[in-house]
Amino acid sequence: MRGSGWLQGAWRRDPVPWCWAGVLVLVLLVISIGPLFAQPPSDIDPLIRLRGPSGAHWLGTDEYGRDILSRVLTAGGVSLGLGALVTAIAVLAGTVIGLCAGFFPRADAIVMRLMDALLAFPPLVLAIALVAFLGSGATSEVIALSIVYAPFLARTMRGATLSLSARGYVAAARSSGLSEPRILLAHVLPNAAPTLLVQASFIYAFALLSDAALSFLGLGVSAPTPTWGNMVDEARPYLVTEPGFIIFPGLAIVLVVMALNYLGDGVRNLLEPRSRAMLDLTHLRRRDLIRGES
Amino acid sequence: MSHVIFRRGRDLVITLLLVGTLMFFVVHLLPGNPAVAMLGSYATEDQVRQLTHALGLDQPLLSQYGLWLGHVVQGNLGDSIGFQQPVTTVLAEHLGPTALLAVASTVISLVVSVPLAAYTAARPGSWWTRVLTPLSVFGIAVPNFWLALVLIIVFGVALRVLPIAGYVSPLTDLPSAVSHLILPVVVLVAGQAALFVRTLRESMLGELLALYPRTARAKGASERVVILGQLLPNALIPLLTVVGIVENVFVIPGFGALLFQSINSRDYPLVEGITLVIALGYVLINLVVDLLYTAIDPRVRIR
Repeated sequence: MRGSGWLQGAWRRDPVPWCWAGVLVLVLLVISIGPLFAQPPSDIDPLIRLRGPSGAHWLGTDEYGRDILSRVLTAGGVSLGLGALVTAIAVLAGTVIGLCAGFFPRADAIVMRLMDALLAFPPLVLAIALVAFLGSGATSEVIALSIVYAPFLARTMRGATLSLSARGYVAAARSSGLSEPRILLAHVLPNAAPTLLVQASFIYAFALLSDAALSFLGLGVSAPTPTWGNMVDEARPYLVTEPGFIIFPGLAIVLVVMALNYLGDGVRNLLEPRSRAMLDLTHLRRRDLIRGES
Repeated sequence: MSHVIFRRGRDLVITLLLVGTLMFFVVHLLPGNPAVAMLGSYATEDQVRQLTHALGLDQPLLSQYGLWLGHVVQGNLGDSIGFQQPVTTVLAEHLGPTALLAVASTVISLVVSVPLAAYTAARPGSWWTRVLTPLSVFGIAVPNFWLALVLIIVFGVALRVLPIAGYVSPLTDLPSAVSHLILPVVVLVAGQAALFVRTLRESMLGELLALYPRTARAKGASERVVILGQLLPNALIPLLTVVGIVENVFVIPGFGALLFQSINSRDYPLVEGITLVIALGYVLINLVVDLLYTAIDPRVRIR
């Protein structure tokens, strides 16, 4: 059985992803607790517009004299929430589509051609076009990004379903008289879950970047509600006078997306034998090289 | 080889026809009228009706489609309603700088990333690898519009060494064109090279698990020969896939913004033109990638 030794092994092989997981947890904590202590993000004070960092305003103030720190925190809640919603919808839709396509050959051809057609468009261009059709705003942004990212998961899920359906235990389940939906839910889905989890963490990262790009272009969540993307857009005219205004929301995006990428890699290395073997190999090579050099 | 090209050429035509047709009907079935968008909300009903007639938008949809298809086959994409110019002219104006940027940054990314990936795969414990790995994750994680603005602050505003905006054609003034291209190319290369390094490194590590590197080492081949001569060519295939799907041309704001603007103003001919160009670019890149596959990997040829 995998016990605590297994986790220790994972840590010893490559501690970096777990440190980044810690960073992510910390960011989530600060974003959820921070606004309770910071001043309200929409408090306007024209007397202190565009001031740099100070004791009262750790990251300075924006063009309306609002506290940048508290806006970055609030925006974090909005952006991360939107990203999570998009990821959840995309995972759910992608899983259902992929499972059906992989398991029912008749549905496969039609559904996957549609997915291919969606994948043929560059994600951001497709998102922009969909938002243009739907009208800008938070709801259409979530719909657009879900439509953009669901095909990626559908394709992964279809592949996983196809390979898992060929396994012996699926044949065994079928010959013991289990219904098809039951086989899908009880045997195929749980075994595809690790792959899905890894993909979901990358999709979350991509969704955050797309959300930032859309709200930077003014197509996402609109002005009074801060998001990391629209804060960068608002800061653009003050590029020269108050560079700090533009730096912090961007850094927040970079931090979270890097953490998600590392986390996805870490989970994949744990769960997928092939990449675990790769990691062991690098670990060994690294150790040998260090020994060899010394 | 020739029958591969023929088959791909046929697929190309079919894809373009499908995308074009789909887009034609989607755009035309959208609520909204370009005549209203052009005349503004104070226009009288008569004016709107006249302009709609002049644009040929009051004819049955199928005959409009037939007319459009006939023109497209002859290379005529019609006139943009918003720009009052042929769509091909509008596209050429926007596509020139975009294509130059895309090609330059893709080439530079490849030149930079292949050696870096080979090095980090071969020397996992080295100091350089420890710096480069987080750097490549950073490159993937950083939003390109933000990186662009930060670089403008540093190099354009604080150090005043590079121009912060504008495009100069390399045909008129080469040094000035290059200095205008440096920042945008750096921004694009940061994201692209990071993705390339990551993909290629991973695929090289995967190849290390195979048995042939061990065989080669056992036969006395040097590490350099094993890595550069055997692992690298085999690991290039996944990289090609990434280069193939890189959407560079369309990430650059000019083109995306143009698409958004044209959909918003219901500029039917321009929307269709942009969509066709995107589809054409995508299909052509895939065609090149497929041909390169065939050239690099003998297994594909046998199939």
